[in-house]
Amino acid sequence: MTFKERAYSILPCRFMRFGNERLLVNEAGEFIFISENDFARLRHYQLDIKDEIFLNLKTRHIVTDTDPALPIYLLATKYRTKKSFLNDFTALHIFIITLRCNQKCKYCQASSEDETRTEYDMSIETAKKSVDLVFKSPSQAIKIEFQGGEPFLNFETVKYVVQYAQKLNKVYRKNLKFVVCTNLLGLNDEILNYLAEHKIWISTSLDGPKESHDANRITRKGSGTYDIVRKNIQIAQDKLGIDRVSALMVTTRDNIDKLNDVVDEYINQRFNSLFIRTIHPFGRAVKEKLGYDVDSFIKNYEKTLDYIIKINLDGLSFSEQYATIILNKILTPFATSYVDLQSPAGTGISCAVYGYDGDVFVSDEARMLSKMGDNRFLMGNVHKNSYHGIFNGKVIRETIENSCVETMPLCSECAFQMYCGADPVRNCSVQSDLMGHRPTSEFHQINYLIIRHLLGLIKKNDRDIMNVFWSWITNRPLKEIVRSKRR
Amino acid sequence: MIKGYELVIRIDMSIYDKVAALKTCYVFQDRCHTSLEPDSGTIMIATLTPKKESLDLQKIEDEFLDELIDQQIRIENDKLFSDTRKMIVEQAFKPISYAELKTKIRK
Repeated sequence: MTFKERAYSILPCRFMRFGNERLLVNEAGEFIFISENDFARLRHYQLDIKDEIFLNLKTRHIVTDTDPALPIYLLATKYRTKKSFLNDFTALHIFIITLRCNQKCKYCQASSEDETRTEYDMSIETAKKSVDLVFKSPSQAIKIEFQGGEPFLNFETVKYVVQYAQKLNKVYRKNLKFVVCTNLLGLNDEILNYLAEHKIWISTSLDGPKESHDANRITRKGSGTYDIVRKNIQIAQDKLGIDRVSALMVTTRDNIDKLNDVVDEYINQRFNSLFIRTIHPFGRAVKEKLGYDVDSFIKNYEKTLDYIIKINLDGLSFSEQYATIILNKILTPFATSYVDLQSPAGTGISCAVYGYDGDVFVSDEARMLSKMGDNRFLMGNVHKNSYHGIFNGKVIRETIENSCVETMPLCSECAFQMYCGADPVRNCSVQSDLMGHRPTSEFHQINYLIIRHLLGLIKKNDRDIMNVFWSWITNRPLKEIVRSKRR
Repeated sequence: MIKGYELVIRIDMSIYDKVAALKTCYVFQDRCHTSLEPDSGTIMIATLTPKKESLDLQKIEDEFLDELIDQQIRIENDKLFSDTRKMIVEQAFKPISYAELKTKIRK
């Protein structure tokens, strides 16, 4: 068949075998499952342009029987929307307020210091210069996140940053938000009142029930922290509001086969979501051998996801955040603001980390690498370099150039490309290479298997499960989703 | 091919770029001394001499061949997608370039 004899053109798309069908995904992430027979007919130009399958493919801009200019224009518009996170350069600014910590968690990646070592506190001068730099970011939305160590141990600097940023914002008028990442051990009335007054959100850590939590999250003297964390979560929720307090967990070998119990604990603590996070291969986590293999993580992740879906179907709104991020990428035309699963990576362009001493890194993991003697992700220092020297310099550019999945081996042809992302810092840490090696990368394997599992559930098109997914994506109760579909 | 304490690998340069062969040799320099020399026709010979006797030469050969393909794919991808990457990176830095321009205009 000559080009002129063909009734339609095939537009750019990626495809893969999916069970006994083919998954086809267009450049903007819109997808369709078709039979092997239809796939063969498609590529041999044997589809009838009046067939339902042809029209379904045409709707997703995978084929066209008209001038390709219009579908390509529409695809480009959708592509721009998916990549709109690039307009927010740089939205998340993490301040390492101090390296001092009152805990010594077994998986700590932040290399904490003893509570008495005040030389590891961020000074007011460094804080001021860092805030000045933050406000040079073109992004209209600015989130300043206080991390450590334990930020409450240097709360005077936290207060200074908040007040100085609020003062500057009277001129810049950005959408300014503050989050403090704290283990809550040092929470008191004075701090709580300040957080309430300045609308500062809390992000804390909770690894599950007492046994799981206390296995790794311990004080410097070695005692468990669960009881005080549980009490202070309740106090903070009562004072600030349930929505202003969130928690994160780390999956370790101590809780990996008890993730359902972690879900129950989160529900008991009045949280409405859980982010099942893998352990990062940095710092003490490696030394303490707290990791597990990919198969074990995926098996438990899928089991827990089923459990969470069931909880929703039983009437309680509760989501798994990582699945929600990926479902957003698969089922909606919008970009997500999750910096760890972006292409190009969020390192530097979506998130920057200001060390206690003014060093600026592309991510917190990059700061950890620096602590281990590898400074390749150090963008500059607030005392020595200009904003443009730091954020438009060689380090950030090289990192971004090597984190576009569109051009990376294996990713460039992968049907999941639009749903996935790159992590150059992790690649360097684990595989000693910015681009990494996908066939042996755990980051790749875990994301690939989670995306595949979610697409498998979507393919089943079970009405109840899809309603749960849409309730997570839209952050609305399941009952509301069901009601709106009945109308 | 293992020859005594050395590993001799034939690389067909009609498939692989010289850059891919050189980079692959470079990757192995933590474990081996490496050299790359022309043989007959399109064949190049890579010779790897382990720095420690305890190294498993068969494993090194397997890893070398995997690495060679990885390096070649990067080169091929770069040929295919370097324009795409340039466009994406340019778009990623557009907000800051625009901010720089505004600063210059103000001055």
